Amino acid sequence: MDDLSVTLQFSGGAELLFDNKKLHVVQLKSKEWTIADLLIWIKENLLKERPELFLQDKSVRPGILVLVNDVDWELLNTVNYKIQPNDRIVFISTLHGG
Amino acid sequence: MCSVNDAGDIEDLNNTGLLSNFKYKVLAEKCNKCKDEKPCVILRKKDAYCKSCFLTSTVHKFKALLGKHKLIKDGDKVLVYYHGGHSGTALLHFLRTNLDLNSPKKLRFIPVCLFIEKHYFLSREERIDNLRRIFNYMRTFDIPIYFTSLTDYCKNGFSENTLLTKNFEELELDNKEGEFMKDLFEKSESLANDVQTINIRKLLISCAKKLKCKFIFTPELATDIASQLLVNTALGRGSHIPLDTGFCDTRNEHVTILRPLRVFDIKELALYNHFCNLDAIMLQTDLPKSQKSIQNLIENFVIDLQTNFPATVTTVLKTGDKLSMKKNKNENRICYICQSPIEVACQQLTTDEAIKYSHQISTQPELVGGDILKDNFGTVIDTKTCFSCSRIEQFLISTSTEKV
Repeated sequence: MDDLSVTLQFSGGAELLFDNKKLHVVQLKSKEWTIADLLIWIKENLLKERPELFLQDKSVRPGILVLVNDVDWELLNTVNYKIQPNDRIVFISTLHGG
Repeated sequence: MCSVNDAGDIEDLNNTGLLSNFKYKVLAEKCNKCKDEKPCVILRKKDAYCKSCFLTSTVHKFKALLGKHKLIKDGDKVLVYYHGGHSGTALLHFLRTNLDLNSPKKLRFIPVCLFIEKHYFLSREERIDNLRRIFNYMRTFDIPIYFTSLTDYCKNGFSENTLLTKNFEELELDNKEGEFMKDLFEKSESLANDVQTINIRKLLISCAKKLKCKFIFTPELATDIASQLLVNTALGRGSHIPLDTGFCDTRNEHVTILRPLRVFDIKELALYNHFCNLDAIMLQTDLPKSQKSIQNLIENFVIDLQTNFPATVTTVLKTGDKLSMKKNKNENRICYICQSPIEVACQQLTTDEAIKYSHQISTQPELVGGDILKDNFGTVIDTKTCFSCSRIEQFLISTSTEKV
């Protein structure tokens, strides 16, 4: 089984927690990945500062929207969604304002 | 079993409100509207839409709200208060796309944007950087933008000399001017927030007059409106709810403030921006939301409740819309601070009077009895402020005298 290649995108201010970089293409070790696993992986590998602004309990913080291939993750069973190869997962923060 | 979490709320451990804990009985298979496409957005935790139906209905909602009121005529100038964020971007995009339409449904007014610089807590470099980003950003929408400073207004009031400029580099960004605001916020955050809201409103109206705009668009969302409604109640501004939270604020006879985004929630607009490939400008708001002010506490309360009970905001909003102002025969009496009509004494005692009465009998024990009560409230007629602003007045006076 090959590695799982996933595109992660952060916007709406969420990128500030990731070195101000909006786009991350990551390779995940071959196994079955759910978004819950991915969030833990992000916390350990990508998140630069203040994880409490991104994560809460085992999910993202309320106020952060998640889209998988432009589909709201609430339609995809949220953290239990099984990630497919080449998925594009977008995290949009609505917590940062003007 | 209960525990107290970081925010100080008591929560039930058996029900930690995790999204994943929600059991979706049926995951929507088809779009709610066209019943054909696969849905990609779910709003209010129940309504699923496909991308095209979602975008169409979002734009429609905006235009329907404007169209319903039929206030703006062709060629009128409208001042758009821009303060960054998803809401600001979505509003600009709504305007741009609908001004550019070739159909009879196109919008026919002339928008002008205004940015109010109020980030006195940031460094000079950060403030200039923010202004430059906004200036460049506006070019993509091809809407002219003016800049003005809130601290300057609070200190010097609005006059011929007030800086209202297209060139952001002219703004004075001296961090010292912010000291006055900082003092206010340190003394009482709730009152300082209230003062700031009033000042922004007045500054918007003054700028609109100077730029010859008849209308102002402000970007409050449904959540902001719901919080404002509860804040008004808490601060003794209950009688101003229709003006502060309704679609239009007609306190000023020349300029009307409209709130065209009051039916949207942030999720709708953030997703709208995402699907239209728009990148919103997020300004650094370096002030952490403290737990010290009524406004922040209420906002957190509304947002938290909304997370688990998606009908919260609409319920508050719809209830608020049913409130109307008492027809005031003596309309000349306007509060000089917030420009709202001052309540006239009526047969029934109001909370305002009840508070004054208890204050009086607890400080002057000899004045007890209903007759004296009536007599004393005869003087209320002379006040120049509404109930809530009388407290602001005392607060401002005490802050400025302390400085001297």
